[in-house]
Amino acid sequence: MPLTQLKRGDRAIVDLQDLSSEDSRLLEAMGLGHECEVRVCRAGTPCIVQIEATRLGISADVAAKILATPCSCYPDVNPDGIAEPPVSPAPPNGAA
Amino acid sequence: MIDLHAERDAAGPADAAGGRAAAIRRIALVGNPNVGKTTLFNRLCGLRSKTANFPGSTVEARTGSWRTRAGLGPTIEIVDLPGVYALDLELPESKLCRECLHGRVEGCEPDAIVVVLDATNLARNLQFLASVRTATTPDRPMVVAITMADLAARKGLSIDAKLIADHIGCPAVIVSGRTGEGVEALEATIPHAAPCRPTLAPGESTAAWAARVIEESVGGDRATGGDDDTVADRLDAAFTHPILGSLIFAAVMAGLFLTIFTLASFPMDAIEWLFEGLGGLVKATIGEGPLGRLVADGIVGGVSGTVVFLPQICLLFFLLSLLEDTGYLARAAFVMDRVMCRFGLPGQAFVPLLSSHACALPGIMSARLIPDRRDRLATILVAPFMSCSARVPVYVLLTTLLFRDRPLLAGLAFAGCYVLGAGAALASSFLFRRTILRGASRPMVLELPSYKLPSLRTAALVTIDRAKTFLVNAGTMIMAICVVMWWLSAYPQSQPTPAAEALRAEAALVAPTDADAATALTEKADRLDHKEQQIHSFAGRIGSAVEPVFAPLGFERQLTVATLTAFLAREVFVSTLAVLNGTSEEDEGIVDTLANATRDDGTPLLTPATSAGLLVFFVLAMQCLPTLAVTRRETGSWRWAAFQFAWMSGLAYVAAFLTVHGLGLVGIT
Repeated sequence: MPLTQLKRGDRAIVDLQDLSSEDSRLLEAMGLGHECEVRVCRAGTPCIVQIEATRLGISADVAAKILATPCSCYPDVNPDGIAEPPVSPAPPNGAA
Repeated sequence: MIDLHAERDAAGPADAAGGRAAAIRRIALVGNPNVGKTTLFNRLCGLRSKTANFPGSTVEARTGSWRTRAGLGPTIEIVDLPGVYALDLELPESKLCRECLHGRVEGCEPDAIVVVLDATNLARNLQFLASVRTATTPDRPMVVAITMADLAARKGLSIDAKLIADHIGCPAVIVSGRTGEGVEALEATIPHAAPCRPTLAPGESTAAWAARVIEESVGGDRATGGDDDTVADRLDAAFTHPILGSLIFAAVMAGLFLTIFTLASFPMDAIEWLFEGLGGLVKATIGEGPLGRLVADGIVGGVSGTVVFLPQICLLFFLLSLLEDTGYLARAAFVMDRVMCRFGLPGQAFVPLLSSHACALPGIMSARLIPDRRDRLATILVAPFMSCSARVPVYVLLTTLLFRDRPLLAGLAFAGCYVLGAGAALASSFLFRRTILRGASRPMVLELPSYKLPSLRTAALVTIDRAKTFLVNAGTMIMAICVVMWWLSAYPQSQPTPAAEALRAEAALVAPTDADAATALTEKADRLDHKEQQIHSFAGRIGSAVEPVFAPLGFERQLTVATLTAFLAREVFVSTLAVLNGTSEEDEGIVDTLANATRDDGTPLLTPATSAGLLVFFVLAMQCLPTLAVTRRETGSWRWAAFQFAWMSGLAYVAAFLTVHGLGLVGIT
């Protein structure tokens, strides 16, 4: 779901793939890296998220392009804050 | 400047790496925005600093000299580079830092780099440090200055600078630009600057390395994380709330401008009084001849016309700096972004546009708060549409003339002028961002810095820097323009008119019995001579020559001359009309006089349609040469100043034409 749909206090793992590479590099340099965990401080558009000690205000158009997966869907977040994607159950036929 | 070999050698063999810092004469300060880098620069350099524009860059940096050992040691030049989040971005400030650290900018190549890190945000800052290491030559000596340690301590963190230094391979010191604590340690460390060698394990990412450094170097209750901050959360909830946040912002801005209007009026009056006295003194000393008038009216008047803006500029930048330092301004920009983005402007544009209601000069200068060049340009170009205080006398005169004895309608028309100006500004920015300034802006992502008490020292130094920049760059231009315009309106000199001579003779007769009447007669004679002078001066002749241009708007010679002189400064319009009609601006009867004033053919000077057209013209036209001088200074080109003049004045002309002829179509002439 887009970052804009999260509620205040929600934690989520973000996906920056819909952003241009330059925008995504800027966000990463500001602390909001691809697949990092954020806490929503103000929901909606624009929104405020916190990443470790960094608090960022993100405009509606940028936030709409950031996809977020609530942390409840990611049980395994490693110590670096990098999420391990949920493991899909193996298909019944055992195909990859 | 002194070679620091001596200190290096004294430091002993442990400084073998630092020994490569052969002669540290220039240091570059680099760091993320909001890490306290400029506060540290101000602490080190104080008033010994200036704004620098390096060749090929539109981004400003500041340079200053640091007199080490409380002024007794060697002097080191400090270059305070703009705050950047990364060096490899295609942003002007990143490019300047990159080029400077590589030594490719003349006058900026550093002998050593001081990387400023925020103790409350070490994870991101350590990754930045690693990127600085790769962006410069490998043997460039570096020192790390860790700021905000007091804030970190309040958050339950304790920083071990020595352990951090072990991980990064160059010295690290904890320093506070705000209090000066740690500056001596920084000074002692500079000679031991060494190339940065982060202890990255093979295959380890900088993020993982930073996390490891923090784990091993940062102690305290909250060292292992915890990103919640209930106080900041509550303040942010209020300051960034769509309704409450807007109300708080409105209250803060109202307080800001009330303070500026209230406090600036005293020094402005004092400056005008002082220069008036100085002009009188010059005339009394040199005489009323051409040289006396040039010095008193041209040069002293020109300097006065520049310096009179200083109180507003100083107060605005002082208060804005305090607000920025608290962390509030970033929240205000966040709130306003909701509105401004619809017109192609960022949230940060709100402050410059609002400031322009007092005066466009400080408004345009405060557009430096906007990081993106296109956004900044759009803001600068439209800021003068906002109704500044110089327009108020014109609005009062024309709305009163339009709606005599109908104060409610006059009030609505007055408010309508402000709405029209703001609407034109937003519509123009909308248009510019889709045409001449088309292109992607940087994404509106604002870092919301920690809340903290503002530094009066930093605010004072920022104010002094802005005032110096204004006086040196824009002020000289404004003064030159004032001198030229004075000359155009003062020459060729007209002889006293017979009517004025008769009045003076009458004044001489009544003087022994009625001094007040004699003074009134003399003043009337002076005004008649002024009128004659206005008509026959070069400025007046130019006015007559361009009268056909303004004829479609219903302006005749007097209105054309008054409008042309108003291009020097809008407030001149009322006084010029007053002079041309033989009254004075202060006279209570000026509205009556102008309401009954006639053209050369005997028809009314100001019909309802002409008054309305004139009002629209004054709301929209660019009639302020000092503003154009500041636009040139802030955009670095006369091209944008010329465009601003052409766009605003062209729009004003068309809108005034449509107003006059539109009213004519419904029977109002």
